[in-house]
Amino acid sequence: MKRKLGTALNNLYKKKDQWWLLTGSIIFLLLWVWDRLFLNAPALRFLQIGFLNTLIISTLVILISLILAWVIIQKMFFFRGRNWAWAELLLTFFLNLIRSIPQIVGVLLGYVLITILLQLSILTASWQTLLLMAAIIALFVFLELVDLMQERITFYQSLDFYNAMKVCGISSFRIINFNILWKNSRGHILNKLIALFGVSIFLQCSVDFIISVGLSTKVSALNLPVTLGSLLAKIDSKQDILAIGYSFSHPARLSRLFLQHLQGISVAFSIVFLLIMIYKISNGYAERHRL
Amino acid sequence: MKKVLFTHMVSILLVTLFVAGLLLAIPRNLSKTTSAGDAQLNNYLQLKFLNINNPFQLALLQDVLDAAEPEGVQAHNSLITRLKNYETRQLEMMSRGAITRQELTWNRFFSLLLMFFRFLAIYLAVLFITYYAVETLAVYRFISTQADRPAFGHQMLNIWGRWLGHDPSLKKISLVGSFITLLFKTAVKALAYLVLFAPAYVIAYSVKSDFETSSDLFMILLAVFSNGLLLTYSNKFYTFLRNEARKGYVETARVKNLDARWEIDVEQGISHKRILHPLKDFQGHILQHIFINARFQYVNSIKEQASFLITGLMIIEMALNIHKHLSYELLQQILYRNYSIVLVILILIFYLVKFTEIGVDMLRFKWMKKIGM
Repeated sequence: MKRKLGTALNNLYKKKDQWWLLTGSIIFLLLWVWDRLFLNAPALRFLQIGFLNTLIISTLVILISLILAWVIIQKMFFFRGRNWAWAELLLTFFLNLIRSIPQIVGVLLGYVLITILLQLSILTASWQTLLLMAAIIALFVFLELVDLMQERITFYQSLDFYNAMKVCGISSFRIINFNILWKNSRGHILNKLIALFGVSIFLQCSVDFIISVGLSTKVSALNLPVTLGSLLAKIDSKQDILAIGYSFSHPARLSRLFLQHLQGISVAFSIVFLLIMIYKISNGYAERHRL
Repeated sequence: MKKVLFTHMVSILLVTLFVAGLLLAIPRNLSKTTSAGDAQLNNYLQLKFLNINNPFQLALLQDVLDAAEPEGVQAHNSLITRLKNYETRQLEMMSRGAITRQELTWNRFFSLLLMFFRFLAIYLAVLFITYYAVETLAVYRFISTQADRPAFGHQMLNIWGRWLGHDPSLKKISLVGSFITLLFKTAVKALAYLVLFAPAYVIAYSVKSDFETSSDLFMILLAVFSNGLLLTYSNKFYTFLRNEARKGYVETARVKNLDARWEIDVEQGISHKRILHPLKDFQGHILQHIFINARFQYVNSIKEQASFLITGLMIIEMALNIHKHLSYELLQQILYRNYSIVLVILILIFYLVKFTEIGVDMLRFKWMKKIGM
């Protein structure tokens, strides 16, 4: 029995993506149990909402990115097929323009737009705000997916099979979408989406943190949905984070970190560990499927 | 190369013209909207019996308006929200000192330019350091993989498996020793991961009481060692190395008797000195060919790395409120709605991204020439 368990663990360890998904989930579960025992109820409630909102926004980001990238790719290859060089050039120019804006600046300006819409009471439900936040982040991260799809399609178009299928009367639309993107690039796309999930969490937390400390604090604190980034920017969390540095110079206070400074530590750990977990899952997946 | 350069130049020219147009248009539009908005509110602000800081009075006003004009409930809601926001804005302005509507003057422009050059210096320093670190870390990891050194986790699972194996010849005490050593190494590695993946502001806040976090040196260190930059891109370089190692020419080189020992500081192996050298050269070893080809593939990722780095630097400057730095200035000017200054900062950052792209493309063409492509 024990030996079987050992072998099973060994096998699971070889599939690094699944291993990290499992161990990561267990670690988050342990963190939740610890917080349930030692963190006060209102803070725990905020932490749970923030964590869920962060995951929901990131999930929406990858869905919107996938749709945007797919539409752009269809248009691009449609223009190429019709020899509309000017249209392709125009599209590429706009894509490059978005690429030239640092992601954080783009997302920050988008959040300014959200705060204006909130002030004007145009955004009323929290799901609208979440969706718009996700759409803005997606607008500045989806290009990585476009690049990947474009690279895959161009590569397969240079092979004989593309022309062979065309000669057989199969439409370019089907070859690109079914034979290239679905059958031969699904793993690559999924891997990129996992990576984008991480990028989205990073950007979202950073912008929420920046907005909460530097921009219209009253607006953001009242109206933007709670996320891990905005929770980290709270004064209690910041004091908890400051306590980490203090504990290094006063090791006797180290134990207090996990009992008295739990809110900030939990939020910071959740952000960092989520990023590590996604990085490991993405790498493990790429390694397992030899991408 | 000329075609690529031409595309970049056209893009720079078009964006510059677009921004110049906006710069000419913005101040007029801004003053119009501001005065129109204020005029609507002024009627209510001038009512002496109305205190907009009092929520009860605002609610009362809304009720009175709703009763007088039942069809305009939505407009009344909007008016009350604007009155509340007016109060918020005033509070913000008071808390930040004098307000801060600024015109774009030549003096202002030159001060922005100085901030930009400071940002540029930090950016270049971090870019070179991270590029060197990415290559070095990737090469070390690649050598370790090629030498078939199992990961710590795997070793721990092996030890556990041997412990459960009930082999009487095994000295369990030595297994416990190995397990504890591995556990310690794993803990150190986990700590390193936590630091390297932590967003910059988490690290900065945690050491704020012990270090001067607004110095340029601290910013450089923070940008290098945070946000997952090093691990993400060294992993990318490592992937290129690994993919190259699977190709047929590597086997051919091995047959031709090139050094192929994946050990450090041994005969026919690779020395630390060569790995740590900024201009890496593994002449005589199979790694030389793998490295050159992987480096050539990585060159396009430098654009991505640079873009991520700019994002990281901006996050650091904004999140830590580092005064007289470009990104903090950008954040403040967005807050004060000085859009002309915001545009100038954005165009400066756009130039930085574009010139980085041009630099990377030139490097790519240079290396293409070198390897005869």
